[in-house]
Amino acid sequence: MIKFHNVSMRYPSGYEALKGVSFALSKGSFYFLTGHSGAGKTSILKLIYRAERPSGGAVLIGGRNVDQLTKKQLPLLRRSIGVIFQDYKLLYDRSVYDNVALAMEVAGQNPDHIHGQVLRTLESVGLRDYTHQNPISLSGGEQQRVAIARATVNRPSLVIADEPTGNLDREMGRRIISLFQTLHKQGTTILLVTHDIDLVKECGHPHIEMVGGEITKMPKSARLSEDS
Amino acid sequence: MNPTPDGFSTRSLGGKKASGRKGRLAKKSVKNKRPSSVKRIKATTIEGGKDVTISKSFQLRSLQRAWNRFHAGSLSHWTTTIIIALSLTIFGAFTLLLSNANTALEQWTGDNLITVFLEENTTIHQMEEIQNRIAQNPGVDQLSVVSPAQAMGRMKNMLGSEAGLLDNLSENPLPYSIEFRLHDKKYEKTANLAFKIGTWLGVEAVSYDQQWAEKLAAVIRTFRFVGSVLTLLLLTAVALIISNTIKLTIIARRDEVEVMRFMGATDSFIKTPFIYEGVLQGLLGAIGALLLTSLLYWGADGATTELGSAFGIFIELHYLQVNQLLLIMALGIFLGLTGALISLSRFLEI
Ligand SMILES: Nc1ncnc2c1ncn2[C@@H]1O[C@H](COP(=O)(O)OP(=O)(O)OP(=O)(O)O)[C@@H](O)[C@H]1O
Ligand SMILES: [Mg+2]
Repeated sequence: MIKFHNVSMRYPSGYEALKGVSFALSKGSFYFLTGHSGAGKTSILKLIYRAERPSGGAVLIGGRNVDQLTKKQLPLLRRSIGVIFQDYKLLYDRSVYDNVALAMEVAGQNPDHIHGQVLRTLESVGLRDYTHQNPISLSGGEQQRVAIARATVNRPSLVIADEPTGNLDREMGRRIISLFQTLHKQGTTILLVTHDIDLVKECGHPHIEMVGGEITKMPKSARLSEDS
Repeated sequence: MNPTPDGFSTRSLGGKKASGRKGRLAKKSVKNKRPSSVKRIKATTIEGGKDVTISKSFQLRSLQRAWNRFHAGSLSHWTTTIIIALSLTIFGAFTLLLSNANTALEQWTGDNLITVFLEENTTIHQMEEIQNRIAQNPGVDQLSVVSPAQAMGRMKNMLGSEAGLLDNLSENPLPYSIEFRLHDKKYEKTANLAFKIGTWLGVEAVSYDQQWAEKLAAVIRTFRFVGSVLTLLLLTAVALIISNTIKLTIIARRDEVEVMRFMGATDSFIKTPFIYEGVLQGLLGAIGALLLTSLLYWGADGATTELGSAFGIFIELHYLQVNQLLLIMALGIFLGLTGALISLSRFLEI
């Protein structure tokens, strides 16, 4: 599903955030990505949905080099990935409902299905009663759950989440993780960035660890095999 | 704020605060709560290169949000609208002026009367000969002789209540004259013939209405040319100003654009809300311009009627024609749309 071939990435400022990163996540897997602040976790996610491009190496999603996608194909790639941003990126000029519905509208989903699916998804993150509120009036944890609803409403085959439990208390954090686990059981590939080592241990999913733009620890299953 | 605890899927549907929309939403979600409905969500693959159709509900909500921004008094929205309104008012006032001048011109040339004043001592024989020579010219119509008495009668009619002044004259000072109309209303034809007749023996002077008309036509032609050039410059400047203000709103809403991009929105999808806003600004600007030109019209109509009555003539201005009104509306929409498209093409590269 996701393959990084010796990927390095340099920000326009000249800072090299990733240095020769290689890994492969198979379809339907669930991985945690951990590392200190500034290790390059968000940078890896940005390369996946192509908010940034690698300065070296190649990023493959579903067998396709994302750097070589045409202007027409790029939106299609992005629609197949549910992204939960570290800073949520909610739109504060519209309701919670509209924020979540936007993801379905963007993907050109049948308008008849949008309504029910948005409500179901909001229900699943416990925000059914907040549909018509503006996200600005929601707490940090509630906003994070709106972001999760928005990222998962289209049932994308890949969900990447940047600290989706960062703003939640332990109890809510566990509930959100179980939500991701439900998606995982339904076949969704999940890559979840977190600082919460306890959480990683508790869940038992494999995890990749980063230090200073390099991968320092990962299970065998995530190693890039020689022939790929 | 909300007393209900956070729960997952287990909580019964139908919120406690049953506002209108909420009630409707709840019902619908119950109806849709079939496990099979999940499958209807379209899976996205990179291979399916089909373009996304932008749903009506999204378009409606975009329009609604654009309107809300006006309501919230967004400075750049109002700036744009006011600029469009003012520039179209200038255009509307110009159109009003030219179109009224044109009507006046048509009314003048509508009666292409040529009057040949005869010398005092002209004989009947000479007069008949002049009449014959005039009649030989092509397109001459309604040839008639006006006697001094008839001329005096007309003059009294024209003077109305002041006609008594003429009663003091001991003898009629007005000469015989010959009047005729020319089919061909071209200025050169009339002027040439008038000049030719003026050289004939027994002719004192020749006058024709078209002298006025031609001067007016020349003025209108100049104004129309200058006006078109100025309008073009004005509209170009306005389109650029608008594109600049819309650019500011795009920058202010970078987040919205970015989020939509990352969700996989196509360019046309991202552009939709901004285009709606541009068009809405243009439309509101045009409506503003029509209100302002109406005010100008009422003001000017009152003033000219007063001015006219001081000279004993009845002047009535007419308002813009339906096609001119539509033109102003179309220009407003065009300006808003062009402004939006210019700024979108330049600033949507993320
Ligand atoms: N837009 C940018 N321009 C320049 N440098 C950047 C930019 N974004 C991130 N960096 C730098 O790249 C490095 C990696 O950033 P990244 O956001 O990937 O870290 P992270 O692992 O997600 O950290 P955190 O846990 O704090 O979110 C950091 O040192 C950061 O300062
Ligand atoms: Mg980060």
